[in-house]
Amino acid sequence: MSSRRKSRLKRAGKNELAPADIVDGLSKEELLATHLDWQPDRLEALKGLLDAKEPWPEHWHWDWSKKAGLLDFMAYRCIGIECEGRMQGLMMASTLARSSRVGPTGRAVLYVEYIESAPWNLKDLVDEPKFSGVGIALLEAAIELSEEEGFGGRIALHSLPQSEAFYRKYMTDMGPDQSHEGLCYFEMSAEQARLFLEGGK
Amino acid sequence: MKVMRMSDELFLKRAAEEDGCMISAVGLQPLHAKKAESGQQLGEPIRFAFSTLISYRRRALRMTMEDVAQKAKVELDELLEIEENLSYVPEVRTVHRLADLLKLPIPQLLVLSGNAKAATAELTEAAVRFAARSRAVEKLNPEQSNALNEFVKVLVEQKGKETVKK
Repeated sequence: MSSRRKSRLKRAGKNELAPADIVDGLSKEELLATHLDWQPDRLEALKGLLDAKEPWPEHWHWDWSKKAGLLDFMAYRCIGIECEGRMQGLMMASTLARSSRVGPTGRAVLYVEYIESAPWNLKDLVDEPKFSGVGIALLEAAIELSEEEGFGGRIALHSLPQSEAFYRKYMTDMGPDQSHEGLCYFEMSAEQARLFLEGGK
Repeated sequence: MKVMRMSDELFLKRAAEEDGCMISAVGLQPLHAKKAESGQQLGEPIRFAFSTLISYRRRALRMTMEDVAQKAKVELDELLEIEENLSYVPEVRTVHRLADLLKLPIPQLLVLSGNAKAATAELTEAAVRFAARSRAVEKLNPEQSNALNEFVKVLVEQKGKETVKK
């Protein structure tokens, strides 16, 4: 059963916060409901990109409904951020610890299997995105989950090319990983996690 | 209720930096999906199963790390490495001592600890299943106790089946 805790998002284009909820432990049904909610906006944006002869984002072949099967395993947790009645972003993390490749190697890290923002929050897809900070709020939740699991706030993920600049600000870029189709592997150490949450250099 | 550690001011700054950019990340090969492949490629889940097994078994027997270190004559530092460092391969002697104390079969524990290879896929698959069902929380809930009991049952059933030394 999912649980909620307070979070926030930034209204795009304004220096203003909107109250939001981190929804932890989403069920398959909630995941599918979000997928269905996002689909019309995805298709609309896709149509616009096709009309403009623009390439579409590389993660569009993702189907969260296909990822729902992972939730049969206790080790997978799906976390969403909800604002104004709609899910604004989704993340699935594996608590099946992997070894860190940064700093003291071999320490357990929380691996983020998937992360995505709702289509209406992406400026590549819509002229006026609704909310910003979905990635920040979900990374914050991932760090908290890592701490809760005893992984010291360490997290890791493989970024799609168009998202690398975002992760490079806060995580160590370990470069292309040939075992993951050449996607860049990023890792956040315990110290980077602390700096991410508390600021400072 | 958890308190958000990032201040609103810092959140606004970071959210402005994000500025509606793509944040997509994708793990292409969930670890449990690899179970059909050879055991050699399952190193991390198997090693994770070993750490988790030692930790769960210790807690099921209501022992602290200090208790185990003292009774098994293992350094506390080494026990910490065993439970937390997935790249640490303990000495065979240490594995024997832990197996004795925690009443776990030695050959299977040698496989899980990285000191021997499994002769059959059954053990590696059970280890991956156990790892995927496990989460590192302080107190075992009934579901975790069941996962532990099922895995220990597989280990005991494997007793007598050969393992191959590395």
